[in-house]
Amino acid sequence: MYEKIFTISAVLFQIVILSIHLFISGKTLRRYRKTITPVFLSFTFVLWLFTDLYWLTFDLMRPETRMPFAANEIGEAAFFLTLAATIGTGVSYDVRIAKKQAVGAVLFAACNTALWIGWSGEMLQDVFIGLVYGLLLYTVVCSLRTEQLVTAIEWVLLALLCTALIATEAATFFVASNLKIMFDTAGYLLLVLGIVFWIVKLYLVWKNEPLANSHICTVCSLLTWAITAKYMSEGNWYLFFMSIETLCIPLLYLSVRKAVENI
Amino acid sequence: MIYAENILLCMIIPLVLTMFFLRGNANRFVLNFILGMVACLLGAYVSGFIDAASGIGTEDTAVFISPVVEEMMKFLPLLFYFVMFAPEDDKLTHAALGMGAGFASYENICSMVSSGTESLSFVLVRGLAVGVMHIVSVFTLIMGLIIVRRFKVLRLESVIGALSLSMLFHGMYNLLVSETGISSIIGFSLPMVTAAILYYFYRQLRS
Repeated sequence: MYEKIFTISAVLFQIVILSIHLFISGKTLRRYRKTITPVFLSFTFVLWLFTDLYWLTFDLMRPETRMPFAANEIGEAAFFLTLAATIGTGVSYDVRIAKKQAVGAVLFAACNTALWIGWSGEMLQDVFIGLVYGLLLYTVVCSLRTEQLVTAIEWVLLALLCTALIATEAATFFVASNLKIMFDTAGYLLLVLGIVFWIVKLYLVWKNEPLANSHICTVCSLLTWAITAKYMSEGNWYLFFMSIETLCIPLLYLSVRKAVENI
Repeated sequence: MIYAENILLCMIIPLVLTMFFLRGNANRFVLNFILGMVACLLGAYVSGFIDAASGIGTEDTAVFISPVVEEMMKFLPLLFYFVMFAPEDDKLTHAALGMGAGFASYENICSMVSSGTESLSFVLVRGLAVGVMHIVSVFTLIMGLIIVRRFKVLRLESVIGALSLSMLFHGMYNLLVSETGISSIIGFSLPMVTAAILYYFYRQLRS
């Protein structure tokens, strides 16, 4: 009962934050017409808002029911696409210098999709979302590599983190139920480790890097990791990762605003 | 069971005849009104097929799948017109409104033929809620396309974004009215409220 109230409150809070930022990003859009990044940011916010509203309506009207393929899935896919476009228009990334990272991102997205299918059994929805999620991850890593925000050692550590995460989550399908709790906890710890990494990175980039493009990249990296973590979790962990996601909304707006002010 | 194709023919013939005597915006509106009705029938075919093929049930198909299919059916002819003829904003708006009005009118007629027209409240709900909802959803789509073009961001992401918005709005309406009580009251008033908000934004966009 309390978990339900907390989940609905968290979504409502996200809806309020999104509405406020949609309103102010609309004003930014009218003020800075030289660049297209705020247009995609506004599209991202409005799609995110509508997807949340749809999900909230469904959850209130049909609790304890899994949502079939609906407009929500298409809205979520469009949200990922416009978020990728926000990064793509803010940072002109070069795919040629990020081949290894791009392959890694696609593999990570494919493994995530396989895990989603394993958990939900919904092949069509998960493959559909997985494809768009892969594109978002690909855009994020290419822009990170182009902006040289992650060192070689950090890339290796990130690859190890992602591999360990996939291995831990995959293991929960095969191990005995007493060991499953242990693997689940390990998975959550790895997800939190990723969140800590991106928050520290974001802090350092905002402190040291004068270019707003770098800020867009790191905020989107944190947001993408938070989305990944949210999809892999349930209960209180889901709420925790959703709150990180909500935190990214003002940060995303501020980074885009800084980028357009510099033009 | 109703013979939807017969109803469509009966409605289309006088409209096609009218088109010979009309020019400009009026002609465009009537053509799109007809296209809207055809889109509605095709949407019903596709939804019926998905219902039969997926086995998720008629009610769930109507609530969750139909908004996706119906918005796609309205979107495809408008996208063709938008991309191939690059019409001015006003012409695009007329086309979209014609499409939405045709879709809503044909759906309402089919619904009334199958359910009867004895109850005035039922007829009013169909007219003020479902009828307005189709116009609002297609108007949302077209406003998205106009914004996309005005800010020179005509890309796949933005077009899919505009389409998704109309699908989400339509889906939310269908979900709200799928059960009786407070949710259906919110659902039935949603199109009129959104129409008022959209009207304000449309005025802003034009100025």
